[in-house]
Amino acid sequence: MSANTYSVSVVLLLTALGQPALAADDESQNETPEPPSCKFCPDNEGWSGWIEGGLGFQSDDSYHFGRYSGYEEEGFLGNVNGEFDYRDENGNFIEAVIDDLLIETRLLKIQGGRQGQYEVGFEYDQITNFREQSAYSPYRDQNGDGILELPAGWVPGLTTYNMPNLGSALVKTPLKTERDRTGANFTFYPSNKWEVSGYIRHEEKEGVKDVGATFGFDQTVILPVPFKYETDDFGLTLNYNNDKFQSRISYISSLFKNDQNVIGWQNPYENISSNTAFGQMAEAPENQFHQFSALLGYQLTTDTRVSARFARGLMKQNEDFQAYSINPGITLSSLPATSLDGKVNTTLASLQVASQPLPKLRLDASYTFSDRDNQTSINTYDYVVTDLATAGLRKNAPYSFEQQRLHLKAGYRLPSNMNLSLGLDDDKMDRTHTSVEQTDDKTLWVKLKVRPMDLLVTTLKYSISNRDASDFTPLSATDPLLNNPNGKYENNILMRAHNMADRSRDKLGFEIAYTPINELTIGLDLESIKDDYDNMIIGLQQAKGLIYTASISYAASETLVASMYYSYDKLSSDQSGSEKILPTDPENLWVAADSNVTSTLGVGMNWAAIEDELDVGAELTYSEFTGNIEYIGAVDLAELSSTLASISVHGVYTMSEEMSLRADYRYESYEESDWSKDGVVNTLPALLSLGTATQDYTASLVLVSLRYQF
Amino acid sequence: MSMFETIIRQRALCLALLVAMGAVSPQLYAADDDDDGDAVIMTAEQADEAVLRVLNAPSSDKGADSCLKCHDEDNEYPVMPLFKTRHATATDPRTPFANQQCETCHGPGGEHQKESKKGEEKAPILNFGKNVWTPAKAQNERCLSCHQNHERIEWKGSSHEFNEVACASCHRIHVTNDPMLDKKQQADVCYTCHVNKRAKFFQVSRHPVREGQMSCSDCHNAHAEDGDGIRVAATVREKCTSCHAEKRGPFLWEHQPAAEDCAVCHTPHGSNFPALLKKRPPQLCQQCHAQAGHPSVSYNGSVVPSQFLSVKGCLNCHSNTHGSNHPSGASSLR
Repeated sequence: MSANTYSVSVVLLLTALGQPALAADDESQNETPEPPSCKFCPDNEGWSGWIEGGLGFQSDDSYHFGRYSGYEEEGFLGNVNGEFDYRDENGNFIEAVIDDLLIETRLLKIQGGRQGQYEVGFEYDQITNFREQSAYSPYRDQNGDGILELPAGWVPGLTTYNMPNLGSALVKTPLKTERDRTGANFTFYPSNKWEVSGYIRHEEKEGVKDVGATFGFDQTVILPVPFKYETDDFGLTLNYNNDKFQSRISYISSLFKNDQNVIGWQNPYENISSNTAFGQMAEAPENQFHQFSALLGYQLTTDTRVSARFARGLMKQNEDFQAYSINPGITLSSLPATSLDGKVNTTLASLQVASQPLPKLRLDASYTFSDRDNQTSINTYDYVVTDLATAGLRKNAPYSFEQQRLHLKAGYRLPSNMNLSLGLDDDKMDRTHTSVEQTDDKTLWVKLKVRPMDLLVTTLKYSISNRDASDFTPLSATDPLLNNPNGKYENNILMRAHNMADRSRDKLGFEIAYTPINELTIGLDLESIKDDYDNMIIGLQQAKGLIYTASISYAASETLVASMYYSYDKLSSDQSGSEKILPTDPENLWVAADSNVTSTLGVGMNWAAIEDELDVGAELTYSEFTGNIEYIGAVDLAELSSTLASISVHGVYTMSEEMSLRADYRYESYEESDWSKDGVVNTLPALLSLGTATQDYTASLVLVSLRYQF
Repeated sequence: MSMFETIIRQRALCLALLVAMGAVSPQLYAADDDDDGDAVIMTAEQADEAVLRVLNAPSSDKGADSCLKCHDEDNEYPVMPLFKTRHATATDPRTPFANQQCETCHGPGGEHQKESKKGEEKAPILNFGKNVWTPAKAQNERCLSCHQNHERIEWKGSSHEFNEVACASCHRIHVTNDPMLDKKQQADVCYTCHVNKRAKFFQVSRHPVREGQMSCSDCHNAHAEDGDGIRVAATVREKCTSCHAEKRGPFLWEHQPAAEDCAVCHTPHGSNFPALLKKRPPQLCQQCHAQAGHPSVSYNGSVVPSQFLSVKGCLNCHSNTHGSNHPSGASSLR
């Protein structure tokens, strides 16, 4: 079904469903009883809100400090925030928000209309992602055409050590992304029961990203690639609800545009083959997604409700193919098509029943069917390895899958005010073009909530899962339809991808909330998970996770609230591999055991130090991470580590009913040790990196703001 | 007997022990603060009966004026900010104040408005929140009488509903701005129960939730999820690609897990590895790839630094891991 067909369907449906019901609703509105008059209800008509302007100073340049907050540059800064609200006696209103007006995370939003009849809104939103400040590269996109070139006079070398111009050619190319979203929305209420709403949104996502690019195995470079993506989203929704029946019918579309579908780069290395002066790879292709969906709910009886969901979507992509290679020295057959004409139909259908047949008994069931039907053609393509040489033929594998999920659960209120819940979940997958086509993952869980003593609530949840994988069929390296390739396999035949392998899982959850006195709450939340991949020879053998958080909060009075938490998070796993394609004994295996531990301590406090005059607050967080990867019988990797200390303090002094003064102080320090960066800065002979070093920064920010409230 | 059945039998004993532990517990159900600030304990049955008594009581004499005589700005439960919200817009026929005002939600207040005799407790009225006497089901029925639409159509049967979470456990009605509807405050509300998630957002790779650029509800539908992840979109991948549309495809050369479920390689809340990955490459990639040659090599400490291990690991060369549209991109190299 094409996008246009979807659109027409929705409009027709809106028209057909809307008209008769609107008339009926108008009649029912007349039956609404008049509310009593209210002389004590305050009059809140007119404008209200606040506006705040601030000046501040940031101590250091730091992309990481301001990664998402926008505070990334040393020096003086200003900011403006505000909220504005207007209402009149007829229900007309305007709501506006200004957030971070003077920095790159600004949000401007305005919504207005007549409540209960119609609303329109506009929004502009910026989101930054300052990723890496100290990135250096000899590459420039001089013509803005996506081709990254080296400066004139560049002398290639066999390795990065033999590139005489490298040092002088480096220019700073910070990595960052900025999203600018502009949108509009409307909602129209023809009656109490009907609602039509819609939105349009345009997003520009622009910046510089790091992309690995290679010639062969020994000539690699990390490119600073400028990019500019645009996405246009559109949605239209019709809602209808009455006492028993509710529905929502929607159409959404998302159109992704990228004018630059090529990343090209000049080879900085001395040619190991003729005609490899430039390489070329694909950028993200333009694509579209359209989806029609319906969500229905019906109150079957007082205690039983049925809901259903249906969604049908279409993903498509038809970007022009590039040539197999820009290397003129390679002779190839012509492409089987000029573009992919890729099409994937997606379907989701679910049915859910929630019932309470007895006051103490709860029974729920849901079934969900999800399908990804990839209708893209399978063709045979020549394969040119990194613009260097041909390596035979390849057929594409357009993956499809079908998923069926069943959830059954029951809850019973036992004597002594215990609540017992039991459930069975079944998750079946059926895939195409994979070595394991079917998996069936069954989970049985039980949850018990007990109050063993006054104001103590404990909850225990335990589940066991078992995933059965169907027979393994080794796949061809070149042809997804060829199940018996006679030795030319795509993978070691003893390897099982962990998401499609036999697995047993134990999961335990434990929660305590204890309130010995009204002012004090003590809590503990623990989750433990253990996965065993029972029949795995090569691949992920087992994985464990343990995370718990102990917390305490104390409300000493209405004016002083303090809280503290400590969180421990450990993830570990064992995996094996083999450097021989068919290991005949365990000695051929290598085993890596990784362990990653994060500990976080947080303290927070809010205090009305002088009632109605001075409020102060503080948040302190310290987080520490260590990661180890040990190799059995080989040299372990160096420890990964990082520490983050973050302090945020504020005080608000109320000078009058209208005016208040706010002071903010933020401090953050971070340092890390990382073997993937340590000692790598442009020094690997076969890897020309961006020279990004491990992070070690301290930055602080002081901001003083004056607020006017009206 | 299958292995699955064997495991179930083994665990049945543990469950029996747990039930036995609870069976000796004292009979307690709901806690509330009365006017003196002391805890009032009710059984579930007592609370249900109390709800019925409230709903069958007569209405107050003067609607909201009856309530506002006591519940002014100085009262323990101040309500005045409500009048700056949409709930109090009487010209909108859908709102409480276009109907029975306070009693639209709180139930008839004819008994509650009466002065209590000395030594007697005041007749209750429906209260909303986490630690109040009114059961979550009774609270939520009042809210759903108007709000059982949009994504809340699937509220009944969702995890929150099944676990008796009240709407007012998260939403605040008597304030000008409900923190749940504010991106900068919403996560703090969610963390009160989902405490283990808070620390995740202090890990080095994360979504911008701490800064309020994203909120939990950008990905999660708290009104419909049933233990299988995201319900804002039809599938997890569909949700992820609504912001990361460049990774949507379809591609000529697809990476199977990327086409199926982003969570095979990525973890959404926080990671100490780049790009929210569950592990670092090459170890992450070697969980599925063991082809003869460099993919199967043990990249241990003896080979650091190396172009196979350092910087972006496998992605130093295999950069189009989410899929490639280049005719020679079968191995994500182009």
